[in-house]
Amino acid sequence: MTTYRAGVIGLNLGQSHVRGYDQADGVEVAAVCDIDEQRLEDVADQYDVAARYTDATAMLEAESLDIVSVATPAALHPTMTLLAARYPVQAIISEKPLANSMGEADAMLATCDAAGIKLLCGYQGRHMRAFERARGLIADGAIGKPLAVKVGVKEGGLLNQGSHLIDRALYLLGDPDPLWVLGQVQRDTDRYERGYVCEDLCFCIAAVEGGARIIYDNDIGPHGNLNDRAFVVTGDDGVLVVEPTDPAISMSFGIKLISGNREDLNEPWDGVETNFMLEQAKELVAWLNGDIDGHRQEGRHAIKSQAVLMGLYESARTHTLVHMPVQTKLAPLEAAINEGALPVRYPGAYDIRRPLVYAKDQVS
Amino acid sequence: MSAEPLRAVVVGGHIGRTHAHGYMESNRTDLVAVCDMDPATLEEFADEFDVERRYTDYETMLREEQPDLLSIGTPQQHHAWMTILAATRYAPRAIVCEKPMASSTGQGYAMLAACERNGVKLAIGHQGRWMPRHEQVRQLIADGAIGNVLTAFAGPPKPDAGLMNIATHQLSYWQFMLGDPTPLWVLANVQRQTDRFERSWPAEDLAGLLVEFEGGVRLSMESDTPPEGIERDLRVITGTEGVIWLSGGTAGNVIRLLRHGGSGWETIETSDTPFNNARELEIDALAAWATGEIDEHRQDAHLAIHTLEILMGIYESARTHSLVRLPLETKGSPLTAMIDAGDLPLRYPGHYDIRHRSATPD
Repeated sequence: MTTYRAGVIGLNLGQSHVRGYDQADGVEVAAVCDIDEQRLEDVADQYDVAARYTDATAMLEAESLDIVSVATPAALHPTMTLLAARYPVQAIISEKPLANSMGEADAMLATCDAAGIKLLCGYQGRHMRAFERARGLIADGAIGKPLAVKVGVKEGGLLNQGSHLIDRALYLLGDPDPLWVLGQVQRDTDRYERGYVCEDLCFCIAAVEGGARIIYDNDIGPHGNLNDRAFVVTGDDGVLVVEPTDPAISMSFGIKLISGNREDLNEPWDGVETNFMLEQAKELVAWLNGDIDGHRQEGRHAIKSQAVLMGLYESARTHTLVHMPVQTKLAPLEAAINEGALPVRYPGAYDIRRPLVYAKDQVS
Repeated sequence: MSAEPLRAVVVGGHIGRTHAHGYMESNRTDLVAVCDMDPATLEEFADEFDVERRYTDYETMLREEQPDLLSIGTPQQHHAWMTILAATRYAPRAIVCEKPMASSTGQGYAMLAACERNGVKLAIGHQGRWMPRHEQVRQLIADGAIGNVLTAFAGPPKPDAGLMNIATHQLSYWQFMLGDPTPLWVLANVQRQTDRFERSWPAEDLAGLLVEFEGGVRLSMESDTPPEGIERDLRVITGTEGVIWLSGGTAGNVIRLLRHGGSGWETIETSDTPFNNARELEIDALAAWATGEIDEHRQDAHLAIHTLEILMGIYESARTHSLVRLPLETKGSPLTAMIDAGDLPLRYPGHYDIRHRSATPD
């Protein structure tokens, strides 16, 4: 059996990718790369990786990698992915979101497709058992025809936290194509997320194939009886709620079903934390080996949530309902700021994730 | 009941006809005069209800008739001045003004103030609050049939609905069904790429919104968005213990209820009480309110001002790219402000009106 050679670019978040590859069978961490030499040494020492680089091109030239993880801040995902796609690699995992614009994300997918490279995006939340189970129940008709998924997060930004939620809402619905997005964005403060512009808060209504709506908001604060990051999926024959069931553990998702066609279900979190990066790596190895014919984090799924994210910003920028595909290829939030459409009311730049540095082994 | 019927007058011969029906049906009221600035509409209107006293001038009617009750059924941009003029100079016992209450919150508060100063009771034409299905849903929620409310969703109603025309009704009965909690904030967007008007007042092409009420229920609502396969006028309330569906459009009267526990769907048929019947209930209650027989009217303008706050909040959120807390600081119309400021440039020129000269009461 082949052992795939993986290289990881960006070791802040990427140290979790390193751990996943390290734990999975059939793959080894062949090389790691970070511009921060101290972090490079720390992570490489911890996982006993000999090949260490501060330059991604040098790593790609020298290491004959099969798999590349791009775990840099989001602004660099396209550059690093397109760089890696010049080499004969088999798969690239870009962390989420794919990019800050639709044009870059489209280019990443098209380039990898043309090169025969499997592109994945870091929406590892799809591996949680509660979501697998809920998706299966919905596909099996437990709530009839889905009408609406309501989900929100009280803080954390759209591209950072919200992208996971929108991606998982699509996952629950069976990855339908989005049709249009109507949204609004507030940016009264000069807010950034790891160096890139971030909104104060936002919301959207997105319609998907079949007519179901995803109703989303972030950074508005606590929300009545609805738990933070709870997914409430209402269909014409029932309701499925997927939400954290242990208030102390953010990823403790369980499910509750009220159905018109079967027994109700109440399945709290089983207490087993999902090893996201291990699941990601295992499923990739199985896909590369041909044991399965897809990966739940495939870029062709991620491009759909990308369209909702960009559509939300574009809707706010243009005062329109944005039909898919999103025609505007630039980064709409950045454009709206540059056009003066979102003047800063309370000056003072700040960043919601920097200089936050993950402690080792605290990245899921 | 007072021995003498109350003297009622109606201005506005289109939507005002439904008010006239209400006054004719109620045994508390006499319809004594009607008014429309268009002579042809006036004749048709007065003939239909066999009313002899006819006016093309509003203030002349008020001066001559000194009515107890006044119905204002004119386009929205006339609601404020007509209400304020009547309350200030002629002080009828009660006024029912059509929806939307006004075209700005500033106008709305001026209406409230004028009526309060002159001891005039003011109701707004949100008669959806009398529909049995809305009463039933309000009761079901209050009784805890679906536990704590988690989310509420309203899909697009009929085409060419408009926020100020149809969404004002929807918001009002949503407030009613949820027990009239105070709306706290609105986050919304509005599109206006065509030069669209509703009875000569600017209207948006479409809108989508999120509004949070006291207690934390967030309602999402769409207006004139593409349905994409979902049934029109679909309304869903999801709670911790069940779900309520309302469907079948404005004429529909079916409530579907699914409760936790596996008992399956319950279908609750409410009595067939469409628009005109609700109007009769509205007018009857207005007469009783005017004479002091009852202390409250469920269409009290003090409730409708919250509906107007949400409507203007939708435009204000779009105008300012922000979550807007209610009551709004901006008292004018944020929609006309946006248009005047060039924030909503026309992509497809050509002025049109989605309701002008429509003789059909809605």
